[in-house]
Amino acid sequence: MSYEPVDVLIIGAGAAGAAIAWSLVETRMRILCLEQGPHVHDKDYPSRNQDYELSRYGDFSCDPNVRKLPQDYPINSADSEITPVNFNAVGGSTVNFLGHWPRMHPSDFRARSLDGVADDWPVDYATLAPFYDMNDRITGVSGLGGNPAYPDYKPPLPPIPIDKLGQTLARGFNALGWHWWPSDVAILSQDYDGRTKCVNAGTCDLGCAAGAKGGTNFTYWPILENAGVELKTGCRVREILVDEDTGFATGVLYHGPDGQVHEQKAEMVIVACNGVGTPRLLLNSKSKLFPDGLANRSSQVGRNLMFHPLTGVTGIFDEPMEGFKGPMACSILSQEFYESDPNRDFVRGYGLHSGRYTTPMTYALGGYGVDDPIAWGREHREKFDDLYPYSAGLTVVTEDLPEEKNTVTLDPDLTDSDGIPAPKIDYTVGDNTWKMIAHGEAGAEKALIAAGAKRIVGKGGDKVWWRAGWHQMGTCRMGSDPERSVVNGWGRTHDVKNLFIVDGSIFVTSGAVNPTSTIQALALFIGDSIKNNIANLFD
Amino acid sequence: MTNNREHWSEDERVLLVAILDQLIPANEEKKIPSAGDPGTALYLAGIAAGDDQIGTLFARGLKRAAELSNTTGGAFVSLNNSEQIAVIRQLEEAEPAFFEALLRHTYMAYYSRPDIRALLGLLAKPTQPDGYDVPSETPEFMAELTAPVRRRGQVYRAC
Ligand SMILES: Cc1cc2nc3c(=O)[nH]c(=O)nc-3n(C[C@H](O)[C@H](O)[C@H](O)COP(=O)(O)OP(=O)(O)OC[C@H]3O[C@@H](n4cnc5c(N)ncnc54)[C@H](O)[C@@H]3O)c2cc1C
Ligand code: SF4
Repeated sequence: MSYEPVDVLIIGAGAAGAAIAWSLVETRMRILCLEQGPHVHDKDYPSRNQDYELSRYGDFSCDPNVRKLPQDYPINSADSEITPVNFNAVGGSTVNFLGHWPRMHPSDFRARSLDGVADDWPVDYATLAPFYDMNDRITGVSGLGGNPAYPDYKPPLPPIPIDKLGQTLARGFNALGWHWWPSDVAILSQDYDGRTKCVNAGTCDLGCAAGAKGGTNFTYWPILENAGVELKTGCRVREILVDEDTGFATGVLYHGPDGQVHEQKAEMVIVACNGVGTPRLLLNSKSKLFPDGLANRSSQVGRNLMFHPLTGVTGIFDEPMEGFKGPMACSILSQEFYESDPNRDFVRGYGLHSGRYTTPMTYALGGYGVDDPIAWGREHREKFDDLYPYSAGLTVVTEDLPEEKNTVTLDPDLTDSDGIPAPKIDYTVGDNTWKMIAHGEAGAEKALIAAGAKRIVGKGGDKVWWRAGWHQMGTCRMGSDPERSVVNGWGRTHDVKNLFIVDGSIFVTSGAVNPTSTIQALALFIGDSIKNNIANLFD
Repeated sequence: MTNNREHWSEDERVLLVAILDQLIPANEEKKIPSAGDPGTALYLAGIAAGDDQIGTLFARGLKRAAELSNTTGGAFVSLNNSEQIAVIRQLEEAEPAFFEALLRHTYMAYYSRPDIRALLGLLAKPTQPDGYDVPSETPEFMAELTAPVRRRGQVYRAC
């Protein structure tokens, strides 16, 4: 079936799709969003079930290859050192994300000018700052103003408790004279905007049944649906169509919940399918005009894939740290080693993140993001009796540099349940990153000891965490040169004038912070640019 | 499909429970039970009954465990502690796929039990809707704790 054209067609109802829809709603254009996943109601979140931890290894796993739900697409990661993880539903990966909300630094947008690596972004921090603020207000962000690692800004809500674990580590950083700060979080420290505050349940990845975590299913989507934005779930876009004469996108073909293929026409198409889903869709949209995939004249679609390779170091303290209480990834963040330093053997930097600790089953199975069960027998007992309660950790989260060889391509054999080719990932961790990891592990150890740790255990060794491809960036990067980038400085593809991309795939560099705050600020900025250029948008 | 409870013969069940006792031993002092309780074995029976591949893997693994203990000196339950541990180590070598699945599912079964969670200090009930009571730090306390960081001043590159 073919549907009448809408003004704006957004593909993907996650973090980015919701933010751009919000920005465009005031234009009164007819906006439709197609989302392959369903609405997942908070009453169905596993954190309300007695055996909640089991679902982390079943249908609420962050890994689509484990979940294998009808709305998921498989990902071939056999040739990657990290596997991408996500969630496919209204809210996208913000349904199971952990709500850590740091911004990028001004220097992240200037890696080429400052450090001679990668490329500069065509936008800068100052341009994005008002959009960060706007997004923080809509999302309900908690944190402490005055962080000396950033130009001045103040989150709308006070910080969440950092608790004993955060306080202990903070004292360690203070003893060394190192930077740390309570984490900015997309988690409510107070009731806000009709939503209730965080209850410190500690299982943020299993969906926040309290609604305290700023998933767009709780923040943007209720506003958008009230405002008349149409959201069709269970609709998986197979291909974006182009007019062979004009070179404009005309709409999409999608598989509907009825199992049939439909055509939806549109004046403007906006892709928001995350850093793996977006290049996958473009590469699958081949035509006479674009035989190598849509908007891919630069051959950059699917290249420069960046994650944030990470590892963890654990310290054992004298007192119980109660790391299972509180938002699981958020307590304090040290950016002592974030900026480049010519005295180090690597460029750019990393953060030392203190989440909380973890729940018993996940500890027994090796930790979040790791598949490496702990020992059985007496050693098992000792770990649970003498280490687990007294553990506090630091995660070394590194900046990944863009490299063309790290790619998302289409798998020749593997498909999703609609027969659409699955993405294949080819990815290796770069030398610069390995040096950062070594430096970070030593730094984390020092900080933990300064905080009072009696023993250090659980250093990552020669591997990064496997199931930790939470952040997927770079695969349709921004730039002013159409030969070397896919979208321009405000998200419009160089090759197709009515096609926009708004998710992390347009990142030029990755920074060393969780990306969603920046993804959404960028989506709001792109929405604003569309509005400002509306008279000659497609020229 | 076989009923969970009847999935294994009595001999298999007794053997499995004794192996589970070794995989996660009890802590008598803290009154934390071992994994060799009926709940864990029943969960494993459910897994084995619900998936033919795992069912076959488990049947083969348990058969091998019985053979290895017979070679060591008799039924697994009749062996002394160090002999049992030695048999499990041999089993780990001889049947790695079975052992990996057994260990993983044992950990999942055991730690999904509310009573075990409570003994480790967590809520026995689901984490939502009540969660944990964690007091917020006061603004004064945070001001004091962050004072050294603020004193040092800007740590980002302005550009
Ligand atoms: C476990 C986990 C923890 C995380 N923790 C953090 C954190 O603490 N802080 C942080 O900043 N980030 C975190 N992230 C990352 C964060 O979730 C993502 O950066 C963010 O959601 C990306 O936004 P997006 O809109 O690009 O993609 P998503 O939010 O993933 O949304 C994309 C949507 O597009 C849909 N889609 C894809 N392809 C199609 C198609 N062909 N047709 C129709 N629909 C399609 C998907 O179903 C999905 O709903 C985490 C992620 C995970 C998985
Ligand atoms: S810790 Fe807070 S944010 Fe996380 S799931 Fe619980 S209530 Fe939600």
